[in-house]
Amino acid sequence: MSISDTRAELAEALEGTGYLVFAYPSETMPVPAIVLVPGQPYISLPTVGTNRLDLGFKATLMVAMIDNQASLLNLEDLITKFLNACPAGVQIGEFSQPSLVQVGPVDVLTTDVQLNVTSTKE
Amino acid sequence: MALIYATGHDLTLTINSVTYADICSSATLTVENDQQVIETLSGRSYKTVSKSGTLDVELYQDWTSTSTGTTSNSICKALWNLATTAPDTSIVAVLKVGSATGVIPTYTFNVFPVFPPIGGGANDVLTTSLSFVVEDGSVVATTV
Repeated sequence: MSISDTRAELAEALEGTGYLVFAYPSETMPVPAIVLVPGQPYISLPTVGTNRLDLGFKATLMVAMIDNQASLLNLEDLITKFLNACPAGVQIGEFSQPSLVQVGPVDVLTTDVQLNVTSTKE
Repeated sequence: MALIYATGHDLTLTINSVTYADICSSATLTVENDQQVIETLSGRSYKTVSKSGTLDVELYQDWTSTSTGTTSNSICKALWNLATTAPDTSIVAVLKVGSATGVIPTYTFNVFPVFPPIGGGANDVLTTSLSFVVEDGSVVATTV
């Protein structure tokens, strides 16, 4: 499976949360949503051959910042659905401390998580 | 001629006729002369009586591969089965060192199957470290 196919399939699987999923950074991102972007490192070659690739992604989970309690509850609900939708074989890292980010005119509560998945060149 | 540096990505590991380049993250063949030092009245002399070798391999655990049996594409299952049924029967291993376009030094030798350690940390991709005993006198180097 190619790199692009892997990213698209991961995004498609995350759509199982019922939330909007962007497989790339978009100019407008209505919340609640999940944004899947290349992580750091993005691609590494873990084996002696060059066919197997380890792809790293950063998923950002975003909910509207309404008030502290409601937004945190919404974010926790999104995290739970995210974990349920994450396909088998995906290595899930740690969720970062929720933080307030301004996306355009909207304040959103976000958390980031690193995902790693194994793929092949083609 | 330009010097070509070999990297780990130039390695190819084949065990029991199955290539495991996509599973293996490290492969090191070590061969040593078992040399005895003989002290005599006329001085010191040296005699190599045998050779010993090990093949150290770092693998990603591939237990979930669907194939089974001793010739499966799951190296972990294949080694487990071989170590269970025929631990004293060596299997052929081939280690190629070099780029695909150049002359590739190839080392062919026999190793005895070992049980791969199973499991690992919750957040880790599961890996396993194996150290195979190389059968005495079995290392054959070609194009070296």
